[in-house]
Amino acid sequence: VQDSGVGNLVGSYEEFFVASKAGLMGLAYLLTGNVQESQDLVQETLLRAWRDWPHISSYEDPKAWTRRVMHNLAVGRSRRARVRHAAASREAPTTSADPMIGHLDVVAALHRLSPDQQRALVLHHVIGLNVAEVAREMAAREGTVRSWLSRGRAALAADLGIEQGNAREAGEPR
Amino acid sequence: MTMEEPLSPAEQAAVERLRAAYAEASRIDWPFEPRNVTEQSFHPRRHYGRHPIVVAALVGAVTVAVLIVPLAHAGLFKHLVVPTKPSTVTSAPARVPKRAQSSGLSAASCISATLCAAVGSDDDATLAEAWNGTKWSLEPSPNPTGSTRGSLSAVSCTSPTACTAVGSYDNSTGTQLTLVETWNGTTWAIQPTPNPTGSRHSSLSGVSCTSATACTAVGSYDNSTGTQLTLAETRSGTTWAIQRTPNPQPSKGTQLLVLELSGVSCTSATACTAVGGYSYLSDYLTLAEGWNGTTWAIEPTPNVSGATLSSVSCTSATACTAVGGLSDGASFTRVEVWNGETWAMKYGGVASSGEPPSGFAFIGVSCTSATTCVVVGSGSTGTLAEAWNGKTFTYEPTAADGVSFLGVSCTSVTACMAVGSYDNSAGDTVTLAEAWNGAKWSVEPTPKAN
Repeated sequence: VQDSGVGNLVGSYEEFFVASKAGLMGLAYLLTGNVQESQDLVQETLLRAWRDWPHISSYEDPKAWTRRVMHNLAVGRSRRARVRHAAASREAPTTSADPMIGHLDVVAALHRLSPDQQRALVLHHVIGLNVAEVAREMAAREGTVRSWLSRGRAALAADLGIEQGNAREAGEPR
Repeated sequence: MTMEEPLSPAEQAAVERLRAAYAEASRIDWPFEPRNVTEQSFHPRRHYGRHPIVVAALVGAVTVAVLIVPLAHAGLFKHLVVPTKPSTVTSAPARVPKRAQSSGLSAASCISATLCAAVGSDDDATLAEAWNGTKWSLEPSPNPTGSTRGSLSAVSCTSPTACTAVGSYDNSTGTQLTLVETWNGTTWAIQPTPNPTGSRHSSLSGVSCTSATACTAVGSYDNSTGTQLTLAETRSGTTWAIQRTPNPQPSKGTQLLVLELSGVSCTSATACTAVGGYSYLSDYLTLAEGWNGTTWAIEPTPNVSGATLSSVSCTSATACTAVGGLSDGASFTRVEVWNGETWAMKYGGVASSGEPPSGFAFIGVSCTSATTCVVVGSGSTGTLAEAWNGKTFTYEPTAADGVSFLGVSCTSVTACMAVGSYDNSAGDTVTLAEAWNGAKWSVEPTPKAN
């Protein structure tokens, strides 16, 4: 029998889990470009959130914590693991049933940017942090973040072959 | 969704593709439920510590992670069954809502080994702290009325009763404006500053004072087309005014994306040096400008591509050292030196043995002579502090791992203070200060801001 305190903790965590899982999966996919690795990353992040839940649950926005932890986990994962996943991806080509097949080019283009440009683009344009928040989260100057954003956006558009004239068509997933 | 600057149609389309990928991935579901997690034993952080029992609990938690995560990877998570009730939790913790802490110090300015000011931000508010030689203490700093965010990026002190800090804040309509605060020995107070007409983003990144009432600040602003351009403001008495600064003209066929001044160092009212950078789609380039008391002029820098300059420290009108880099692509670090007539690159490129490790960027520099500087920075694997003798580096291990240094201030070869932030074990980003005594760096605890 759980006491009410633990019950509250479990209940609030479960609510947070349900509210966060999808968004974390989207973020993890942009970080890794691999569905399996993204699922691993989400699981590990949410497990860590549970282990520290008495602390994290007191935050107004625990998602900020999970976002930071997920990024650190993704960076900390071994290059060998990424190579392994890349090799597995080559051995098992994506099929038309893969829900992400229409987005492989944009994720590949994202990953051809520098790590800082990738992270800044995702935090600002996908997650919705303002430049100051991105600067703080990335421990960088705001001007540097703006530089990453400007160059990252331009490089991403160029890599995707999006010209001014066909921007509308190119904006649709392939 | 935050949209701070106008995007070209092509950029907007690229961003929409990213958002679409995010949305699609967010719809992927798989059998991973809350109970897969909550049915694991857990060890609340408040019980972590150095007591042997607590260490054992920590080891247990790590063991859980080591054992469970690989099982989860193998799809075996759901088969793990452990006691439902967390053994170490007997009641709900105090439920005082608060923000996930995200604070950091951006810069420091020291008058002596026992007197420094440091500034930064704490969540969405300005932050200022003072060092008395023994400990850091909070010194309340104001935020403009109606602002939704404020931060201080740089500080310059000329006496114990005269410091000037600069940064930016967002007003209630989301426009980013310049911010200047001054310290009179007792309190921090806001000084009115001008902003370029029509700009939606104006910010000050660096400041240097030669007296209590003579300061120069630099930064950047967005013009009406969204291009980021250089900005300089000077204080004379109690009034700040915008100075005209030159902006490098893009060569034909290239599109200038960002142009900014990041740091400034003045040795007199007629001798300031500001550094920064600009970027095109295909390159980053360094930028230096000099103030002769009347005008700002571009000082050509040895522009080997791949880096911008972040900080500069001058010990005379003919001796400045600027550092920079970008943890971007090949991760260049850069040291350029001004001799009064020309800039020369003294160090640049990816490090080799005995030099700054690859993956780092220099962010701050403080010199006590033309050939005695301390350079700090950060990279993907942690912090960096280097002693620079004008020709070579000496790596100085810092006391904390996994941190970012953004600023440093030295008053002698045996007295420096470096500041920045780090992610603590709880996942919070918190302030950090480390002091150099000539032999080693040591962490000097900084107070929690909230």
